[in-house]
Amino acid sequence: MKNSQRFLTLIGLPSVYLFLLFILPLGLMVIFSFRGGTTGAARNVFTLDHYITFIHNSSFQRLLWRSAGISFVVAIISTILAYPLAYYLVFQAGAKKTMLMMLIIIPTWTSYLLRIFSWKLILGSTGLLNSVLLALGVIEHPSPILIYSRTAVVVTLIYVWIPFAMLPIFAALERIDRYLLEAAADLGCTRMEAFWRVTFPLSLPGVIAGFFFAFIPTLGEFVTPLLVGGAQGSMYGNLIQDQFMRALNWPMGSVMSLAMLVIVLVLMFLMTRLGPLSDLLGL
Amino acid sequence: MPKHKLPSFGAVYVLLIGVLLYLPIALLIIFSFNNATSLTFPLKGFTLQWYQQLGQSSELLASVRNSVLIAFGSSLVATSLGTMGAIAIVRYNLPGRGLFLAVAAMPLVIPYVILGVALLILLNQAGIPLSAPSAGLGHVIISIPYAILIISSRLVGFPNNLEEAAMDLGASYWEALLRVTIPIISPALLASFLLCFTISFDEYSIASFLVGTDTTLPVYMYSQLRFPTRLPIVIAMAAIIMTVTMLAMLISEWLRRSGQDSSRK
Amino acid sequence: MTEYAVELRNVSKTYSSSRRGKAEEVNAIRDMNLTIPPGKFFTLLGPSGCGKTTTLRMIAGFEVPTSGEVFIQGKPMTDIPPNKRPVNTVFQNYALFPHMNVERNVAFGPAVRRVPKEEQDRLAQEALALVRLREMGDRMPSQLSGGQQQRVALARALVNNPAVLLLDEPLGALDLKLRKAMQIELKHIQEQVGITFVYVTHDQEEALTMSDVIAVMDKGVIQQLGDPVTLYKNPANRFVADFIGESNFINVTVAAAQGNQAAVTLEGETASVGVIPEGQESGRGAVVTVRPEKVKLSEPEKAPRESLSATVNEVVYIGTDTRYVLSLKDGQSMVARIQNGSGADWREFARGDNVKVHWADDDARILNE
Repeated sequence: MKNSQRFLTLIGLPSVYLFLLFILPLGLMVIFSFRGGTTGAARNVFTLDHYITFIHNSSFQRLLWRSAGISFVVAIISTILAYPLAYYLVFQAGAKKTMLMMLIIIPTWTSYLLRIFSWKLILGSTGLLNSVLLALGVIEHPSPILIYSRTAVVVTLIYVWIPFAMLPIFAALERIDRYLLEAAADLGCTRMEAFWRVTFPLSLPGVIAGFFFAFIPTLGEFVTPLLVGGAQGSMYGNLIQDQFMRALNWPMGSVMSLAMLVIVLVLMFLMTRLGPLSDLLGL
Repeated sequence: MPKHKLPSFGAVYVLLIGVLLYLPIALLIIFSFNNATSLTFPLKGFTLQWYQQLGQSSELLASVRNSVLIAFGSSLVATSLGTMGAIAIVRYNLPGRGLFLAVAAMPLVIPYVILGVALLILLNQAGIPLSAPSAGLGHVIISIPYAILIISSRLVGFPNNLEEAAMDLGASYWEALLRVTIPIISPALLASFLLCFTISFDEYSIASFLVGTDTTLPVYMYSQLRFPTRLPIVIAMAAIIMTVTMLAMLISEWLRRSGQDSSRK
Repeated sequence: MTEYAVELRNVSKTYSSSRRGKAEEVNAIRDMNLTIPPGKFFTLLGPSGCGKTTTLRMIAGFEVPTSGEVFIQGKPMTDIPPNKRPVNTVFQNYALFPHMNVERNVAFGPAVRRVPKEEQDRLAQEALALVRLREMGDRMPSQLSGGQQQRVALARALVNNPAVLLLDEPLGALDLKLRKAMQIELKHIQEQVGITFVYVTHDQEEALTMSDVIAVMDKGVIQQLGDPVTLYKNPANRFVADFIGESNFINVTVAAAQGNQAAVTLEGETASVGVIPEGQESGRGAVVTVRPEKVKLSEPEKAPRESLSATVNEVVYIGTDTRYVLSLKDGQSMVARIQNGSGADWREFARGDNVKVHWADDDARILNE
């Protein structure tokens, strides 16, 4: 039938690209995970060694768990902080809504690398926070504990994710029919009650989306730990990067990546269970 | 004397968040004018020397040039592929639509480190050398979901039988797309291009794996972060880039929104 | 010999859909044979889902028949795509191109055919004059009212001088007054231009107003084909009788049937019916149909011998007429529509009154079931 021919022609090219540069590389990564080594003759050896090493190496798994913990904290706090922001924009901003939205989003379009780096300027020993605290007499010496720590990583990532977590919450709140709130009031609810009984439950899909949109990519985060994490703030992504770029143990790196990929896929499946994909994307 | 209303808790909160969001950017811009080679407080006086020295760093300029080229290329490809995908998704409800949408959207949530190393493996296996354009290949993947999103949003605002009407009047299907559909979505095409450009231009994680000995601006910036004396120039560059990016995104948003309004009629 | 404008031969259309996980075949059109004479205003009339739009789209080429053939002006068109058929469509939502002004919209067909620009403009102006929108050429569609947009859609289709013009419920979005005005205008344009119009609607009044020929459809099958008067006066079956205008359906027993006449009984009383199916047997049950405006009411003492007893349930005054809802002796319901104040025998009835119901023989018929 003409119709399906046209459809296939249209998705043909994008599908080919997605297959060659997204699906295929992931497939090759799976294959690589079974290889003996990165180069030379070892490439052609099939082995489960790296899997075994991964399973037995508790420090790898601790790091994975630590990263999951960091990601979880970041996602939760970002979402919680983003919620009042979205709520204000939808229900209280009025005519200024679009402008405020733009103002919040604009920083996310500027250099990611440098925004993270600039947190060094805030948290560092000679940075803003220390300078202010010194000047106020709260502390006597600059405190280096803020920078190069897990806390620094968490704070920086929260800063990065708040606008992104806000967007799905905003979309969900926008879609709520105002007449529902009027009905709630008509039936005796105070503003607080109406919020918890009507608004919040209806916005929950957006909250869940925001949470996962912050949680999942953060699992693999490695740039922020490099810049502000120091030794304590290192994350699982750093491990993977290390395997590929420094240790040149690609099979091991592949195994590690696959472990994270499995977790990511499980989380994505969970996310889609909690609302069809097209709803989350607003299509 | 009229009693001034206290700003609501919500407004104060938004203000605080706003300060938080802009603080790093503001600091960087301030330091780009700071007359000192190290990034420490207190500030030491106003200077334009870092901006003046920008033109002299050939490495920096080369990295900017690379970034512009691959951003341009990858946004062109991502927008084209995204357009095809968006038309297919919005106008047709056939088997395969859901799967395509799911796969196209996945890069939105997959950690970039995984995408980066997977592509590294691909290029290695295929014998393709690592260079700046290879980073562009990866950027297309992460940009496609945004392109599809922006273009489909515009498409759904219009009646879905415009192509049919054009065919009824004698045009072939592809002629109908060219004469009717594409002109209608053109603001979205531009908005998508600008967004994808920004994404690619600013991207570090994937590029760090794929550029080999080449540099893109983020890769170059990262390499300079260990040298405090070189930093002010980098930050001056960053301040310029940030301003240009913000302007580009404002234009993109304006295009997108003016498109929504006209289609709502 | 003039060929038909459109001919459908043994056309069927089935859709396969999956409902609740099971694959289902839906028969949209079943073995349809249809000929549309040239130069007429032809209407496909029926309720939602009867297949009228599917039929139209098969003529346009947007749907392909599952079996059967489509001919336009005698030439086989079944495999020909829509853009190559000498047919143009006026869509229900107008489908005007939002990024082009009115003139460019109307000139789209010629533009696709690579007609020179001056010629395009001339043709567009001609078409716009036909629909009385000549000055609107450089407006954008979003600046026009619904009625104006509809006329632009018409001009855009007519400018190509198609053999057949298809109209898919084009007046549905207009308010009542505008709709009635457009019905007359469309009819005039069709007569002026002389092109075959194939019109789809669910509004039987609209169909009766505008059409030369009507095909009444239900569930993918043509129930009756004819001109408006025939369809109204002589509905072929219950569906047509019920769909076009208002009808009463009374279950009776046939006491005697001869030639064209039959005597029917209900609860011991008799009435006379002047139009009956061939071979109608007596002693059986049948359904008599009569239009409300043909029903006469009389006081019991003044009624003719052949009439049925009824009680008045509702009286509704509608200005020119009074509408009576009655129940017959066995509880069956009937509607009578009596013009107010005509004739020496006219009188007003009230709720609860006992009356007698009768009619002229030829105004009642026994349905072919």
